[in-house]
Amino acid sequence: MLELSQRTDGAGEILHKMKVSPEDVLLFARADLNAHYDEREIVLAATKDTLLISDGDRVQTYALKDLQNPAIEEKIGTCVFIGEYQGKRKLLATLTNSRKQECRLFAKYLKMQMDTGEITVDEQDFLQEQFCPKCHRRYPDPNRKVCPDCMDKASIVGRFLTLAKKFKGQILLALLAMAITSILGIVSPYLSTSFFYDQVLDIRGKFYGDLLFVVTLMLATQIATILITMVSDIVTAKVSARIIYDLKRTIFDSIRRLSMRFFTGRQTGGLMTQINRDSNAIYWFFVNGFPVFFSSLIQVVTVFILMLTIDVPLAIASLIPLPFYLYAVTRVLKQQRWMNARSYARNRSMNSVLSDSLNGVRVVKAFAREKEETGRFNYYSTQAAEMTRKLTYFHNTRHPSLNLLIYFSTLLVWGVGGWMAMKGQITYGTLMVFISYVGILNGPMFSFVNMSDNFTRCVNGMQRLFEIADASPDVVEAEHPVSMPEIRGDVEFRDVEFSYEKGRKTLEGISFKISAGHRLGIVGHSGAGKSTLANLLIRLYDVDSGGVYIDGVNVKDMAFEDLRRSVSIVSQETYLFAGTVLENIAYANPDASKEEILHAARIAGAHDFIMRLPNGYHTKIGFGHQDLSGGERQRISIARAILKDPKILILDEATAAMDTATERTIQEALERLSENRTTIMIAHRLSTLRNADSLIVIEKGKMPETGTHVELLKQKGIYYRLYQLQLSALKNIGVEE
Amino acid sequence: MEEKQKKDGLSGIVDVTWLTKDNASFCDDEGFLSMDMGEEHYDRVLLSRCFPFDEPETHISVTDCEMKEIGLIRDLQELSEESREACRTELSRKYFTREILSIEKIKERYGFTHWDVTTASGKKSFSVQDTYRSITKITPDHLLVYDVDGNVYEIMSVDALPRKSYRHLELYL
Repeated sequence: MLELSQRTDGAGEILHKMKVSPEDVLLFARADLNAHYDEREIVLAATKDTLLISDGDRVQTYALKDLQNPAIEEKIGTCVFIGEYQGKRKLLATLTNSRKQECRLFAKYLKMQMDTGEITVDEQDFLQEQFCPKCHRRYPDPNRKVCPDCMDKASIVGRFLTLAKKFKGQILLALLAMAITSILGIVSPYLSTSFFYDQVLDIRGKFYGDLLFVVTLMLATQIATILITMVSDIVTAKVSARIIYDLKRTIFDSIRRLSMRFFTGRQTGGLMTQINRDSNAIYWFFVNGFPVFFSSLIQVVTVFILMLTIDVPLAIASLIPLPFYLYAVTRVLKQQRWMNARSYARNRSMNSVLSDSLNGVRVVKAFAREKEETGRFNYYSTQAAEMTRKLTYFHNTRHPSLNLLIYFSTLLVWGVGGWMAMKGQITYGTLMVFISYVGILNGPMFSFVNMSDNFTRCVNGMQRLFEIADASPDVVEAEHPVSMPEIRGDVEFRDVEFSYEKGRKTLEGISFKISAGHRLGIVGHSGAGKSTLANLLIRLYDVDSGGVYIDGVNVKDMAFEDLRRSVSIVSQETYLFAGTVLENIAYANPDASKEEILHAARIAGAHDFIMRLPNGYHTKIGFGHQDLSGGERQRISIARAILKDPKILILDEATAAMDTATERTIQEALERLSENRTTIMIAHRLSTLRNADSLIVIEKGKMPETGTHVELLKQKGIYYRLYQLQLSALKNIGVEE
Repeated sequence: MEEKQKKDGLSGIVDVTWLTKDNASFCDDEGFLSMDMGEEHYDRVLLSRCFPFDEPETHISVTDCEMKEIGLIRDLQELSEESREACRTELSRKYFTREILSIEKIKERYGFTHWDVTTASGKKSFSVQDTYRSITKITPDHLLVYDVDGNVYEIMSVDALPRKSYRHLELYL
């Protein structure tokens, strides 16, 4: 039995109630809504010839021979399991989105059983586990198989520390320096209190009257503390920065290596922000959090041992307020975190409104909505300011209260210790040193409580960064790639299937051939899958099945360098890097001569407008510099592709953003360029494709038509209809083709 | 008056088939909505609210299974009683939400929030990714919450929530 349900409890019992033997059941899943959309446990079971659906009260039975096309159909918050039963559409079950995945698989394997008489499990279907195998809680994000509760923090920190290995000596030095400053921090109050009163000022003291000695000693301690702290801070900052640098470099290397699919599943901006935020969290933990914690811990432990050796009852008395203080700190921190998060959320809303209005300033002005935008900003700004005020008020009231609470510790020592001093049980100096030590003991308690939070943030940051470092690319170069320094340019797609998302096929059954030097036009509606063909040819993605071949060699077996040198793509989305026009064109071939760049720009129709720019080819473009129009950007990107001088050229709506005159000029240039090169032209406007040797039509991921322009017109199919539509559009404006 | 003229001006440009009791009737056929329009019979039609947040029963788009629009219902009141009920049932199926009555806990961990709530159909636990994007304010008081699976939860009135629930939620408003 292939059990698709995430819950495995009670399957046998349920099947028993349904009067089905578990041995006969091939598939088992659960839906969770009844026909009236009330929540109910619905069981789906399939034997080799029957589908059974039980809502707990009754069992519906469907003979598989009368059932066709079982499928899951998505609505807004729910899904329905439907099929055709005895020739009539049938609603089989309803479910919430929580059960979508298992029921989708149920439908898939049920169809497989009906079509082929057997079930072959596709392991890919079960790769995306949704539940933590250890605690059985749902992963917050199914794409990240990380259970926050079961995450092995120790191994993550251990792995991070391997990065620190090469700085072992410096780290030991920093730790030693921290330990010394911690001890000096204890010695210093001892010198200025107990030692000073009992050994220098007291006539019975060993150093009675030797003021110069004690003052020099105090100064030396102070200077030593400062110097050693400086050493420790410098070493820590240096080592932390280097480790973070190494970590970021590892991450960036990993990112470079990863395939397109990794990026399409995430927002790139969000990814970069996350990397920076995580790196900063780690950096500050090691520069600020850990050193403070480490030295405070040494101080607290040493001081408490010293206090116990000096006077046990007084040491115990000084600890009495501590539990109350720790409890209060925990409460205050919890509230403070909550307020900080709220303040962050309100500021984020305010910033988002501000950035929205500024980015859309043209629209705001064009529709005279300045007043409304100001009002909108004022609302969020007031909210953010109000929260900041509350937060400041909270800080200014709670923290002094906490200080007062911990001050009871000192007061207790003053009271009890003073009484003991009066009784002669301890000296005045001992009392003073005790008071100083109570301060040292209580001082870091606040940061100790806060420490766990910082540590968790740091470990989580490490975990996320390692996750990127560990992500494996979907598209990998063959271990022993076929070397193809020169290619002819034959291209073949053989029964290609591909999907960006599992379960939603983008391309299906695509097969075509282009001989070297020929031009193929690809026609189809937006979103039909035309650009995907280009993505597969240059291996931004790999096909799910079938193959893409260049000169008879599967692109999967070609070296990346050979493949990407041989194929050039001019897409509808242009990206220009911040830099000069020259640098942007030369990006494709940094070794190109200036004259070659001039020629490429001329062919692309970019030369004339570049020369009108203030610094010609040296004009800086990109963020914060010269602004170019969509057509101008496109022409630079065409020049870039031309400069590469590829054997296979893909023009993916390359001239869509241009006016008709410019398009015509560039088309002519591109046509000259495409002579003796395999050219794939993707276009909406059929006129762009008039010189193609052959055409294919892509419709909803399939290839229903193929042939020459004349052949396709004769077929009177999709191409014919598109042609007629564009022709009539031209006729409407008085143009006859 | 000016507004009226504007509307007339625009409606003159586009061709919309308005579905009323005079030209269309709907029927719930074992979980599927069918429609008769004149001579034409549609085995199955799909309904979509044009303005789902504030117009649950007006401006409803009627499409065939290929999502090709057949026409628009201006107001369910313009349909016959039987058609209206069939359409309401279909809409409630499509826009299924669970109403949150109280919030027991919202625990934030690693960029995700884990919610323990009581709904009209009992206690539920779900996870929300990025509360900023997953909580939609229909009005400042009326919210929709989308969980990681795509299930939709509705808070009809934030102000009417128990005080403790409001405290849990306040952070994300």
